[in-house]
Amino acid sequence: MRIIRLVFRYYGPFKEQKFDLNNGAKGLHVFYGPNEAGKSTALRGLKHLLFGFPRQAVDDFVFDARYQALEAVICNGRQERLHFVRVRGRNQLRQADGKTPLDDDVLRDFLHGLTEEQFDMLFGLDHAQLVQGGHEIAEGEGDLGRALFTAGAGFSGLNALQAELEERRGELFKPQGRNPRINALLAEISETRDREQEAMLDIDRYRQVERSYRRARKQLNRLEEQRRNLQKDISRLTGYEASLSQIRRREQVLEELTRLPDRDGILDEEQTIHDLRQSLGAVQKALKDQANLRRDSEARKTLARELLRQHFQRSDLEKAAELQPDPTLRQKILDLAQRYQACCQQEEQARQAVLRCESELKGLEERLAQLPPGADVATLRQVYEAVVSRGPMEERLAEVQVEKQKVLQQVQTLLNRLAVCFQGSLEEAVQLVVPSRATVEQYMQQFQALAEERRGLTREMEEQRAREAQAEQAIRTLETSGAIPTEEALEAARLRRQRPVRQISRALRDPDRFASRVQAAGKDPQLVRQQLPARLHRAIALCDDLADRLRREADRVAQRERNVQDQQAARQKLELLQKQLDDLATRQTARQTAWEGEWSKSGITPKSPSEMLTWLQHHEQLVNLMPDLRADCHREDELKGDIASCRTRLTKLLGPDGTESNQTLKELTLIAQKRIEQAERQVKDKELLEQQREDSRRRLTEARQTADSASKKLHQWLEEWRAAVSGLGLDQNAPPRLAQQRLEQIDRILGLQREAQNLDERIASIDRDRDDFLGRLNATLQRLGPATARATAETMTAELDRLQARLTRARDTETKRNQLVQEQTRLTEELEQQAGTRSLEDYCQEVLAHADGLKPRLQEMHEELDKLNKEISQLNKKVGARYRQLREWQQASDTAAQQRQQREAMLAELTEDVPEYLALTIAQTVLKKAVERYRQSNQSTLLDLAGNYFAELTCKSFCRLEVDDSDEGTRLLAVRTASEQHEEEFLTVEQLSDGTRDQLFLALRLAGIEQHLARHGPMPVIVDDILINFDDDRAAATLRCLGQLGKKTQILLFTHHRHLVKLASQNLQEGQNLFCYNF
Amino acid sequence: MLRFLHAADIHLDSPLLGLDRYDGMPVKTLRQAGRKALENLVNLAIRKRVRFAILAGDLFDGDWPDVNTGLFFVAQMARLQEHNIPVFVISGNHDAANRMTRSLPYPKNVHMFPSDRPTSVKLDDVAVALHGQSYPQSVVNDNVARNYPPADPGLLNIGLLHTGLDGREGHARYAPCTPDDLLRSRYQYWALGHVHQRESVSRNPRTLIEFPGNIQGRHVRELGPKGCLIVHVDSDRTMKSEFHPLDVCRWARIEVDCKEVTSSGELRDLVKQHLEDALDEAEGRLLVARIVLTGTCPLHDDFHAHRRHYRDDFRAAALDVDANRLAIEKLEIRTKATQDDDQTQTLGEDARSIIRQEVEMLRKDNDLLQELLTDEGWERLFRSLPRELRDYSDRLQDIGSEEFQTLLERAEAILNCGVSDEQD
Repeated sequence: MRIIRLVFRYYGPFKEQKFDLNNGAKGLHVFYGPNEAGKSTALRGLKHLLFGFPRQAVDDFVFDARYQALEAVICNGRQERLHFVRVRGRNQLRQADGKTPLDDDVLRDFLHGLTEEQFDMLFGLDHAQLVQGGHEIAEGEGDLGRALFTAGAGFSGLNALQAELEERRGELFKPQGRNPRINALLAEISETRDREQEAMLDIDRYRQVERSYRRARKQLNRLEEQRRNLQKDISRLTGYEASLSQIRRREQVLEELTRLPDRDGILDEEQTIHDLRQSLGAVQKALKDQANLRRDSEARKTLARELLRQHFQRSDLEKAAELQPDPTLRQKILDLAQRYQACCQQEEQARQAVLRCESELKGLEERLAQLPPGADVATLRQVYEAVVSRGPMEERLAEVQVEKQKVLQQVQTLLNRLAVCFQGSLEEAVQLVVPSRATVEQYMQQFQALAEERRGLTREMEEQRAREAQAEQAIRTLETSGAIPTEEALEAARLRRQRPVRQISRALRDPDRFASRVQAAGKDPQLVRQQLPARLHRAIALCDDLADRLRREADRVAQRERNVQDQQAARQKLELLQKQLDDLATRQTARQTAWEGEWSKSGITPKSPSEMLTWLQHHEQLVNLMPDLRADCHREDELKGDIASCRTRLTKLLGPDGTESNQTLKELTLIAQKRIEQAERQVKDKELLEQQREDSRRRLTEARQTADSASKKLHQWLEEWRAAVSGLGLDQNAPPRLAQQRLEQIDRILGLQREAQNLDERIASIDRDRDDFLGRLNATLQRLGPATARATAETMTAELDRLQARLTRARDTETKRNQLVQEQTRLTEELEQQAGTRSLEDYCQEVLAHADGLKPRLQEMHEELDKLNKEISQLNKKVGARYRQLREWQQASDTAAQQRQQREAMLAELTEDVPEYLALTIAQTVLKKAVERYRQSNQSTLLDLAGNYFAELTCKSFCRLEVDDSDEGTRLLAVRTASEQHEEEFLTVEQLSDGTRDQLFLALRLAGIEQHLARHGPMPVIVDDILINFDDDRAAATLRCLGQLGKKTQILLFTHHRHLVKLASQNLQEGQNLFCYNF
Repeated sequence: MLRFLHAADIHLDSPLLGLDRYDGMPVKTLRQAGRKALENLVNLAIRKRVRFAILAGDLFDGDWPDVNTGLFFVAQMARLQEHNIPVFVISGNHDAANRMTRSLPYPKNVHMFPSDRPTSVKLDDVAVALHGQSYPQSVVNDNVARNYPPADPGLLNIGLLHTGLDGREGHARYAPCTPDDLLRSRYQYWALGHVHQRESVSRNPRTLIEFPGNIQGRHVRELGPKGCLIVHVDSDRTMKSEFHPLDVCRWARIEVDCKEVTSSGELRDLVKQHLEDALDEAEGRLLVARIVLTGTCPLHDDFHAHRRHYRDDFRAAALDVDANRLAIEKLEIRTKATQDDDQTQTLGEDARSIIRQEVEMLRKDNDLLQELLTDEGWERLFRSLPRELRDYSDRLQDIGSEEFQTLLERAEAILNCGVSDEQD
């Protein structure tokens, strides 16, 4: 394929940038542009043109990516041309018109089906590739296969790729490694499998443990049964052991009981002895007190006799009782003595009361005598109440007068308002006959309608006048800017034109007649005929001119016509309006006359209806006020009469005292009220005093009666007293105190005598108690055995002590007996309990029968039990362990399952990793084999081609390339040209300088391209600034090489460096195999 | 109304296959999936108050001897016993291979049908007769259904059978019989087991033949909801089976068409979208997804060369979508290279074409295979592979095997990518 034309329509900085590649000539095409001129953009554009735009927008810094468009004309080996356009969007590829879609395959065919990537690899050459290629060859240590593959297949990352594959493989697995993923996984899987096995519980083990558990459980039950039996035996024998000692003790107790003495009878007398002991103390104390009692008795008797002798001059104490007066008399004397004082007091109090009452009565009578006589106020009260019942008449009168005054003011105001067209009095005003409101309103509406009509007409007239003036103004304005041709003027002109026409026609038709007629008119016919054409011309010209102007100035003409019409219309309208106005004035005068007629009856000359409407309103108000005014006057007169009558009556009754002629009715009423109150108070005071005097008189009478009664009582007492005291042998006039003393003396003597008698009685009682005690003691002694001696007061204590000692002994014996009986009962009960259902005797015999060797037997049995316990404990542990184990298993641990799950997870990882490792290995092998195969099939041709290029590129420093085939591989050798100094020299790649190595790569690369071109036909080679690091010689050499390659195809060299362009033109023939372009 | 539960193929503690672990994966849910599904079954039976439950074979994996697994099953059956729910069990091919199935201390409510001949159990209170036979061997080639007792006309007859019927994809041929054989028995319900995919073989409400499928998917071939059937029997013996999902995690195969994809970022977004859609259909369960890339895509080589990178990227995307409810099992690449067609026309002298030619040549080159097999790395690796991968390594001995050819393609993709990378 060759490129004939390239057009960057809109792309990067380019717009319609065209490159004609010399009709697709082979050779070196150098594209020069300084930095920023768009070299890189053009390179990209070229690729986009051939292979399509990438999805993402690039190079859209000037034109929006949407508008990017590239165009080219290319041709293929069969000289077929393809003109196409590449645009953004769907169907990127279009035909030359930029619209018709073009099938991708058409272009692809021209490109030999190459993809962009392949194109780049095969036909792209840039500086970076060059450098990397050099490195590649060095790293490959000159391995020929690699070198050829790198250069020929255009792939300069071979070493890196191989290293990457190896690294990735190493990350996955190493035969001896531990850490790579697969190694680690394998180890882990194995560990997990172990853990899984460990956690796993197989059914045999489970069954074994379960069986073992059941067996042990059974054996345990058996041993526990055995132990229960043994424990029962031990318990029985232990019971025998305990019962044996009880049986022996019981026998001992029974023995002791038989030995105890019989019961003493004294125990039955225990209560008696106890009572005697209680009484003994009291008896002994009484005997001691008896002497004192006797002494007291004697002393009292002596005193009594003494008193008797002293007051009654007698010594016979035995008869002293006779002195005692009769109890009734005694009581009477005592009562009278008591009453004496009270009687005296009552008599005195009554007398005092009489005196007090007499004095009080006297005082009251004196006060009554001083009171003044009362006055009669009944009439005054009647009049007063009548006046009060009428209410405050003077205030009401004042109110009525104020009210009346107000009305009067209003009336006056209204009368004043009416004065505009009426000057009569109030009464006359009220009597006036006036038209109704409705009538007035009707007139008012009519007047208003007429006025409104007049205003309307006036306004319209003004409008019409304005319109007329406006039209006139417009006409004037039009006329000032030049005369306006009118239809009339044209018509006139045409008419004037007819004259010369007619004259000419006449002149032609009948010249003689014409001449004669002219002459007849007094003109020279010759002259007229000569002038005729000129006149006709002027007339026609005038007409034409007018017609033209009419046409030309049709607007103005029309405008003027409109204005004239306007003006005329306005004038007509004005006349009509004026007529209407006159008619209106007539109607108004008629209405005014009618209006004045309405008011003539009342003799009033009316103002306008609206004013008269207000006047009527005021008149109506005035008429309405009149009844109020009249009522107020009437009420005033009435009130004044009433007040005068009341005052007259009150003044008369009150008399001249305290009244004055000018006092108001209210003041008079107050004076009357005071008089009435005063008179009532005096009457009340007198009544009160009279009441008090009556009370005082009654109390005096009562006090006098009481004094009489008290005096009688005192006298009666004296009579009784005299009678009573005579019985005591006292004087009749002995005072009550003396009588009382005598009675007290008698009482004392008799008291002493009674006390002595009581003491004597107590002495006798003590003697009786002693005898009784001794009697009871002796009877007891008698019951307890044959009496040795009788107890006396002196021996009674000793006897009683003896009895007490005997009683204590008997009691001790009984206590002992009771204890023994109790113990025996307890033992019996316990044994009976042990015996259970057997009789006590049988049991005791059984126990006694086993009594021999009981202890050693028990010992044996306990040892046996210990052994059993140990066995059971061991078995229990075993059962527990098995049980726990089973319980634990019943938790159904998922450890093993989890390990298995984990193992599966790792296996899953392994199934990811293993194929990856294998694929990487295969990839390595494939790559190796591909390189080798490429070498084998291309070595011979490529090496020759490359040798030539290399020689050229190194300016013949080297002459060719050779191969070193050894066991270690096939290596590339550069042959240095023989010189005078040295012969041909074989240098390994490592021995070459960096620059030379780059050239070696370039040589191989150019050879690869050339070989490809030779096999598959031309294809443009894109070279991007590969010469930047070359010195001028080498750059020239390279350009020559490119020129040489350019014989086979187009080589598009893009560069920033102007000197390279120069260098190229020096080394190649411009126009033949060199073509230069600028951006 | 009578209700009973029908489940099969519990394969308790059977591992989830092909699922490697990675950071952020909801491991806990996955770990407990199988056991939790069985618990769900028991909960369902209790909640629905079924009269009895049927387990039609394969309680455990045949090669899994851990009694812990069996004891977990026993404990779950004991829960049913507490609720007076009898369980009728036949052993399947896996159980036949597993001694544990027969020897477990089952509670009294578990009735295991004997293996010597078909027997029947009658439930008088609900007028039901259950007929079944456990199998002593892991391979049964006889049509055992023929020997089942005749239907009792007065009762509802239920047959328990572990069978592959007339053959089901992915399942061993086992106790073969045809649906017609079963229909001839005049049983009202055939409770089948063995086939892990739910299938209603007969939908006639008077003669239902049902495979309930297994209760928890264990690998990417066991897709979709997994669970059991609750069968409702009307008074006139018409029946209706109702599927109840029991699975804890659900498997999905998510195909992503990469036709429009030009960058890994775009692909990630696309995958994310697919994952979100798939998750919406998982009924709140954990979704284990296999991402299958399809279509013609310029990234084809890159997928192969950087397979792990893409997989990890998708896993990260899954974490983004819902870390608790999504796990990515694996990445399956079924894309085609965009340049496939072009390459046939190429000049064949660029690196990529040379490699392609080389690969084409090596496709049938046994010498290459031998060379590879004697490679130290391969030899060592093959020797140390666990037995689970032996099959794979064995198949690689044959140059024509799909496995080897796949490896070659992958190698080519890796090289293509290496070449392109260099070029970029």
